[in-house]
Amino acid sequence: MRRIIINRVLLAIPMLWVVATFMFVLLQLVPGDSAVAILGEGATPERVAALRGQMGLNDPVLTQYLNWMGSLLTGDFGKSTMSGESVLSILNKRAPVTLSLAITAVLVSFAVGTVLGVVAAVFGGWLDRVIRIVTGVGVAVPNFWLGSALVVVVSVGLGWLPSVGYVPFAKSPGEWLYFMILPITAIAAASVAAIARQARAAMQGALQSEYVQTLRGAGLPRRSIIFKHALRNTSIPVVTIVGWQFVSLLGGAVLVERVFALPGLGALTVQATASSDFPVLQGMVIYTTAMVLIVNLLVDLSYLWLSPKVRDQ
Amino acid sequence: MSQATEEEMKDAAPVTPEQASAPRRGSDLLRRLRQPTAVVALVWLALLVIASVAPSLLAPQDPLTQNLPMGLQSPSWEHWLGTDRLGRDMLSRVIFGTGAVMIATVTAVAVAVLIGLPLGLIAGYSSGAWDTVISRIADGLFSLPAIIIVLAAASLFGNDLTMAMSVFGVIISAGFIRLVRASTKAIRSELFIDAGRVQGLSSSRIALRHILPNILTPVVVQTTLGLGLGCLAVAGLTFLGLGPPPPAPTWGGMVTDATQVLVVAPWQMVPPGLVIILTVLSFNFLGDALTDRPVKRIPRRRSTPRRAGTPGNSRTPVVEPLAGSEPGPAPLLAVEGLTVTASGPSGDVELLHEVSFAVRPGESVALVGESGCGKSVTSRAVLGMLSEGAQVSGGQVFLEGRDVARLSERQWTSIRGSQIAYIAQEPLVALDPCFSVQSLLIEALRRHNKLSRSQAREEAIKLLARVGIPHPESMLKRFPHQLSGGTAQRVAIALALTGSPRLLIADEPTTALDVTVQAEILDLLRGLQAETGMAVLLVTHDFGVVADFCSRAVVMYAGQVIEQAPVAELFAAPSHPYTKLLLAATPHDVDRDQELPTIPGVVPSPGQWPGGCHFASRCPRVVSACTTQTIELATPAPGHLSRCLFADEEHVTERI
Ligand code: SF4
Repeated sequence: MRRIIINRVLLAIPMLWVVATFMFVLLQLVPGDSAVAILGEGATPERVAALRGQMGLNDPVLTQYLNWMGSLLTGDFGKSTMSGESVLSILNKRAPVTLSLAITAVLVSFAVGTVLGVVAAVFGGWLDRVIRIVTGVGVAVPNFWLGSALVVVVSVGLGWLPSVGYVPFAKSPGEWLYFMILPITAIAAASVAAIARQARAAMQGALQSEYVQTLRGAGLPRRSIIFKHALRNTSIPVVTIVGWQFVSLLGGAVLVERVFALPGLGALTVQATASSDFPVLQGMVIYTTAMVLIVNLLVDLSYLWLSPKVRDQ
Repeated sequence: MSQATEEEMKDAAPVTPEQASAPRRGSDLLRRLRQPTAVVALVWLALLVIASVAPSLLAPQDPLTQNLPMGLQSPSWEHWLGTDRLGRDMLSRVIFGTGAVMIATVTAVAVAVLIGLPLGLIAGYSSGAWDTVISRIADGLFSLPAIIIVLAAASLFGNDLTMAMSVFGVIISAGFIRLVRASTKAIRSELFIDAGRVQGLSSSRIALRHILPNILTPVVVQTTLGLGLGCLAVAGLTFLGLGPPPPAPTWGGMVTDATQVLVVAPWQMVPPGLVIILTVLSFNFLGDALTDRPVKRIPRRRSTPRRAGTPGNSRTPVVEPLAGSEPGPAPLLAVEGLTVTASGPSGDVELLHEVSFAVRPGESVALVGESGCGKSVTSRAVLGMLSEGAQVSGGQVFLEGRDVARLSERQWTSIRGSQIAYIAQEPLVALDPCFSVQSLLIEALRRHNKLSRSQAREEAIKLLARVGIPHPESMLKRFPHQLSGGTAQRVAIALALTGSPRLLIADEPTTALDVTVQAEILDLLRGLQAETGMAVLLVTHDFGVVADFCSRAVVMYAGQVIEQAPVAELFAAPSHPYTKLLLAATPHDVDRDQELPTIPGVVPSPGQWPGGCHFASRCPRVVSACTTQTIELATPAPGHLSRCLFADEEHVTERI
């Protein structure tokens, strides 16, 4: 078990290296002078030259690359060209908003999606049909649009929940939830639908499987067959897509944070994109990749815990 | 050889007609596209293509013409979808916004296919280093935060939507790599590719000729899903302000505009949202339609039979139900006139027609026939485990005198395991892979007996010893995938014994096993029978097993019992042409691992049974009288039944 974890962690390191290198190469590919791109076309040559020196753009590419890697290793992501603040500290400040949003959304989608999928598979009939239609449409609804629609109906129309505002979870979990219910709903909807579809298919497969017939033949009660045996087997394929769902929920957070004016990584990405703040964008990509890798590691671990077969490989 | 390799070889051996007809895949795709949802999706997508290529053909007005006093209107005859803040026609803006979305989406998916297809083919075809490297790349791409990278790229490429979406295409190519790799691997292991290699075709020719047509459908399905995903991504990016700058219309940009007037004009949200949703849905519907297998889907199981307690079936069991059976003790199981129907889209279809036979305590009876004859349906009906959609529509099943044919699932739960138990054909998939031998056995033992956990554990060890497992304690902690086929079957038998059943239904219990292991399992069952007095109903297609193990045989054909006799009598004087052909074609002393010998023709499927004798189309002796009347069971000898007009003559005929 420990060997598997170490293995996984070791695999994550080259992954981060590749992403960092990729970001570096991408920056080299930018047509034109990135200093000009940052300062705008109207900048004076002196200012451009100063910035080039500051960014080390006059050094040979290899030196630039090694410098960049070296500083990454020490946790130095550079400074924002907009605010001059350290990129890492900006990211650390913004991350809790996005992480609390995405992680809660993952948990909610996993729970609700599995329940819906299992209900559809076990009960069948009209319930199955309704769940199938709802989840079928659910995967096609853009989260930012759903977020706006929720604002129209729930905030403006019914006046139940706020449409903007944020309280850190650490400060007051209750208030945090009050502000986050709508954003979480908006980004989780598509994942709920996707997970429900996966869970339904997996549960149906499990219920038709030979081992379920064996257990029925041995006289085990339906309750145990469905909720102990079939559910355990269903959870394995469902858990494997949770990692992928986390990636899409992070993307969803970028969009939905804008709808609800949440001060997270998403809003930061949009700002940085608009102002060509490359150090922030680079740092962001590496930072979020690391988060995804951590979530994937957790998914792998739960997979190991769930499936004896995988444990042996 | 390990079990896994055995399994793989077994999987690889048969080439199904579906696989062999690779060139027909294309027309198959077209046929699936004629489903209603697919047609609607295609019409919508065709409209989008027109809107992309020639928006002015569809748009009623210029998308940029402002008319401030007419701003934020609801739909009207003049403006079907209303107007935006600047009084511009929403319908026209949606139509003119289509092109940018479509180009960016198609670019993304094209990039994904161009990367994913070759890489997937290489990984799937050449196992080894390439496979490892490419799979790693796919894994890596899967863990990239797509939208954030795309935004970063967009910022670098000067807000160029199409460039940004190419980066998106690179990331989603991971899905294509995995899919193509898996499909290629599956097809590669199939027989005809190996045959192709033997003939000396080069790898690339094999890949192109055989693999590409076969992976067409999954790749097309993945493409539709990718298009849906891409469309959502483009909508999101344009919502953030990427792409053609205002005043040019974009779908996402229209949502952005709408959010600014959310309170006063919520309608503004509807047109762009609806268009995005419809487009993504169309792609997904298309994918679903293409994935849908036209072949019948295995029905789900239901908790209770639909026609529980049909009136008129409360007859008390007859002690001697069968005219032809030998005198003896009261039957443990008496199946009488059992008819099973399946309800399908084209009405009810009979799966079994008036099947009758009996099993006495301690007896071992074989249920024999080719696949598709109804022997498995019969065993399932006897266990109350018919597939959903199939139900008992006539007759009775008496188990120890009680009619169980129409019990609810709850009532069955108290019968199965303790009165009647079941072991399946494929031991390796018949045990729940997530639980250890110990937890499976303990759960079942405690279900049937009042035992504490530790007592149950002791019992489990005894039970494993009884089924001939050498070191039972060490077996307890094992999981099903760690067992060999023979051991797994022994564990399955132990599981079936937990409730001390009086009747064991064994569905081809040895078919999936090696010849030596087959004999061991049959010996084990024989020993257990002697020890417990349990009866066994053995479903098989193998006359070797019948001769070895059973005292009486019931031969089935196309949903009917066509012959029934003590085994010795059946082998000495088979009295039905079908049985004769089966026996004649059974190889003696050769390995009995093969399928039933070939008799020309196929078993007619349910719903296509002929009016007279079900066997008429394949029978060498057929005369016109065979097809004009229902053939009843005749009694050519005491205890011997045969459903043939010439049963008596056949009975005396020397065996071929
Ligand atoms: S009844 Fe006629 S067709 Fe049927 S098995 Fe006998 S001879 Fe053949």
